[in-house]
Amino acid sequence: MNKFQIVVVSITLLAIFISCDDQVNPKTDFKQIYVLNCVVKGDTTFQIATISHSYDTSGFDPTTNTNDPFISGAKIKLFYNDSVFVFRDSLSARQDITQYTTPIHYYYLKKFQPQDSKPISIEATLPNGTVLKSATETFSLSAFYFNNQNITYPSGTSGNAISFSWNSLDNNGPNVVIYYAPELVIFYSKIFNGVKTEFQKKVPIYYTYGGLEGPPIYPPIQVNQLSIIFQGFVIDQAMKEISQDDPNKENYTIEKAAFRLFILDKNLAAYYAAQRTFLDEFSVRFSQPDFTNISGGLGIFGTYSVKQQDIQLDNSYISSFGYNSQ
Amino acid sequence: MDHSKRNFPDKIRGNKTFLFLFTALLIIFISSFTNLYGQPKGVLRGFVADSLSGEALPYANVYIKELERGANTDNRGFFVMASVPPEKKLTVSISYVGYKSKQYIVRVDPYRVKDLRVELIPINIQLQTIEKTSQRVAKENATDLSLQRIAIRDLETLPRGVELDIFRSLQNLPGVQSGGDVSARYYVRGSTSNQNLVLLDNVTIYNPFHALGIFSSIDPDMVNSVEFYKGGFPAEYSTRLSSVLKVVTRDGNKNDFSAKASLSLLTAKMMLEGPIPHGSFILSGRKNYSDFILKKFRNSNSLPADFYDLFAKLNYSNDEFVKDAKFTISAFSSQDQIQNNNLQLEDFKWSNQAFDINYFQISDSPLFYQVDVSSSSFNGERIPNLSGAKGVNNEVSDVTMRMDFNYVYDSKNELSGGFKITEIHTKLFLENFRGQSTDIGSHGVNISAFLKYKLLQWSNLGVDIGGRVNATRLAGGGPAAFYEPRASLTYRFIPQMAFKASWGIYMQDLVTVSDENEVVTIFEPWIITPSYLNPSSAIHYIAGFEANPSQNLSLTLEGYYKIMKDLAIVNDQKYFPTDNDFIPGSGTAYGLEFQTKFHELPVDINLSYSLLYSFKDVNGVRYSPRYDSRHNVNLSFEYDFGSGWSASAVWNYSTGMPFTQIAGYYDKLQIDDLTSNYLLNSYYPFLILSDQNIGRLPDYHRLDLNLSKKIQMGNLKIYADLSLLNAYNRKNLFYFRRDTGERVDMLPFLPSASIKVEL
Repeated sequence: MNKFQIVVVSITLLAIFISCDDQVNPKTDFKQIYVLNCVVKGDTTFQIATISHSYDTSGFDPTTNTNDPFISGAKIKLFYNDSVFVFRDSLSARQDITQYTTPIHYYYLKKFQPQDSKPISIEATLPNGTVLKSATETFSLSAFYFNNQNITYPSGTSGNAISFSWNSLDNNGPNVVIYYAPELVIFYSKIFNGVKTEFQKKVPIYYTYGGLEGPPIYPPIQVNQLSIIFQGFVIDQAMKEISQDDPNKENYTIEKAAFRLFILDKNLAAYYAAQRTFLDEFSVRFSQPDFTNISGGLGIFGTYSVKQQDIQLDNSYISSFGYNSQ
Repeated sequence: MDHSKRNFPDKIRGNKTFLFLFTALLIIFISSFTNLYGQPKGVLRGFVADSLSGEALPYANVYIKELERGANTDNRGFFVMASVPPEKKLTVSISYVGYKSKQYIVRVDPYRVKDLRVELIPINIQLQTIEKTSQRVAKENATDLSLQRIAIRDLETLPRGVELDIFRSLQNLPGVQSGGDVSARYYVRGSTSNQNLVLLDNVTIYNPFHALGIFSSIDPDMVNSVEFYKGGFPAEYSTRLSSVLKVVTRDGNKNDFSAKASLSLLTAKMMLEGPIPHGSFILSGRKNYSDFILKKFRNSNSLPADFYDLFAKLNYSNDEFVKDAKFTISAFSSQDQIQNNNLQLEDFKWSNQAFDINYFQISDSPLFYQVDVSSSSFNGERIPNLSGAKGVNNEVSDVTMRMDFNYVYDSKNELSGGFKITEIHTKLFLENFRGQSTDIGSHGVNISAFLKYKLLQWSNLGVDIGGRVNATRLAGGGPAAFYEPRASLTYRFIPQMAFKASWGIYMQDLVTVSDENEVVTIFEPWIITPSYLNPSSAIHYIAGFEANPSQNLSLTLEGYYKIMKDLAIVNDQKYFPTDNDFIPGSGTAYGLEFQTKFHELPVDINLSYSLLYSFKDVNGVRYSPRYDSRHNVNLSFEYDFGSGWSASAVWNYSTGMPFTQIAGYYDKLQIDDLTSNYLLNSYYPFLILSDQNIGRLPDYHRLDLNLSKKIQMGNLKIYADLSLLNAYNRKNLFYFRRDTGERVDMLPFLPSASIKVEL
């Protein structure tokens, strides 16, 4: 082999060697993280918490994981009003068993309903000794009141819209921030094959392209904002959509309409807004943000209270859609 | 918003600093006059051009043998040598690579300016004895730290890839990182790409990229020279934090009509140029015709890109109309579309438009001044169709009026200054994921002035001190006025070695809405800094050595430290509509750059290495941005075989870019309805990511080879190029798809050819 051939062979071998791709894994070492979820509801005495762990899969599709990540055997304590409340362990059948077939492990607390504006905290000790903690505060419903007690729709005084306004006795001082999630709901029932089923229809605040064009937009989280207006044509559209293209309007009965005002703590408001209003907001943000307030892990510990005000729907208005009134 | 009422103490402080520096400059100014009238001296001024086309030759060497003094022409082809002893016979030598040198015997009169017009004759064979002495002498006390001057002919011998591209050529410089084969976007010394100012003559081009950013929209055939500051740029440049790329276009052939046509595997180009009464014109256009090459950049996936760019320039210079003046009108337009013809995919379109009127005047004294009125606009649109992406529509337009002057004292010192007014309008129509849109654009006016004094009277010392005061800013919080002091120093302690340093404060209040994690940025929407943020600012500290141990060898070593404050970072923790879209962040970048050049015909070797550390601090978290490539090596080798044949090879190596890895998954609680039983029923898989950019992609390296042949038959010139890109077919990883784990590599081995015909 002459010098030229040696050079050619050497260069070829070198090229083959360095042209190989380096193997690199887009995954790093698996991070074992525990997730605590608990939303303390002000409208019930039955509170629920869940704890799960993170998992990995051999590929990149997380739905291929069939090992139930929800954990039993943890000790969860709730600290409120100088008292300690201990959750109990339980199981519940899953509605969707496409990924996990086993019942879900959860924890519950009976006969606990926060009444006052006070701090509340949670501590979960897992079977392996890991501790997850979080703290927030609850609201006193009595501190919130609606400004108008009796609302009828449609009415000669309200015009072609319904306006809701409220106030808070806690709303003192410039540093007090209260998060509200308002919603207007129409409760109705439908008789199908002789069976009566109850439904709820939420009324949007507007439609994407104005008028009735585009997807509906529901009220966003309001920060210290104490009123909201639902336009009449939007309510009318919600009423129409109750029966959609069903010609048998007589099968529908409008039970009532109600305005619900959720008062959220800051954590739940952020968690709720991060996922719910992501689609609706004008933002330069590029991806859905994750939010957690769990120390030592992920998840959410939040509270809410809800105040409801019934709305009287005029019978002639209901019947104009072909529906029955209660 | 009334800026004048904000932060009054800051404004006072800023004015005091400015007044202090202004006073200092005034003193130097007066002392120079003393110098001027103390000794009788003359001035030699000249213009160097190509004898065939009349095109200015930038950075040509001028050398006065008897005085052992040298100078370089500027990017307009002008040079000025002050403090020339009068009544003496002096030998002036003019040289330029690729041209036959000329010598003139001149005699200057005291207190007079002697004008010299030089036309150099191009030659096919490069001179073996380029006047290196004059080149070295000209640079003795030049305050040019971090400045790269590139004549376009210097780029033509390097592997051109698919197309010769100025931006891609910059990526071979130490301190300049690329976003990969798929992007001509560049990152300078650890800064984001939106901190780079791109000037086409005097006009800002906001998004000068074609296709997916694979090529720049500035056709190199219309370019005469390029000046690139990697940092520490002087007071005449402003509005960006990191770097300045000034592209100076050609004037067009003043003596004869000529046409060029060229064809690559991607585009077809045409250029016409020629004389007009008392002037010249140039007209060029480029259009893509195939996506054969573009597919190679995307794992063989089709890239339905369609683009063109146009440039036109008209020059007029008539002494009977205005003596020693030049009027220039130029226009630039580029447009891109990516139309997928699939409603499940988003479409894009964007365009740049620029227009400039320039009046350049040489006075009887060694004074140059120019008045410039220009406008520039950018429109970009992302059309989501049914892809689920968010729609974006961005418009930015500016109108700028500026006046600059440069005066050379008899002492060789120089004073320059200028005044600039820019009005900018931005519109950014954002769509939410439900398709509704809103405009978050605004408008503002920036009025600024700069003054700069160059102390060049000692041959081994050069000092450049100055500053720019922004009397009003476009918008944003903080003080209404902002002062940007700049200083640069060169001290040549032995003939073969110089120490150089520069320092400066820089301000930017026009930012882009950029997703740092986006793999390919098709265009970056611009907006004026929101009023709740201070303007972004940076401080550069740069120092280095330059050595010329022999006539054929040069070495440079530079170190830098850059502090960036109030960077506008997209707020990923925006939970409520009332939360701000941007939050302030800060950054730090530091590193070392080494470059050596060896030139001994027929061989040219260029080797550079850069070490970079770049960090960003956002919300108390420090991370390395995507362009933080720790080690970079660039090696180029050129060989001139003669008879029009030449070959070159370029090898690039860089440490892998940071990326964020997957650390697992968890089932995230989804709350659609607060009253429902979501805690038992509503969970969906969610990614757990590692700390931001803690992982590193594999190292990148690539070898490109090029063979060129130039054939001349009478007036007909043919340039043929054959390139082998990624010659050893290195599989450089571009990115992983997180949802599938699919590996997407950069450009594979790709032969490419182009041909250019010039008549």
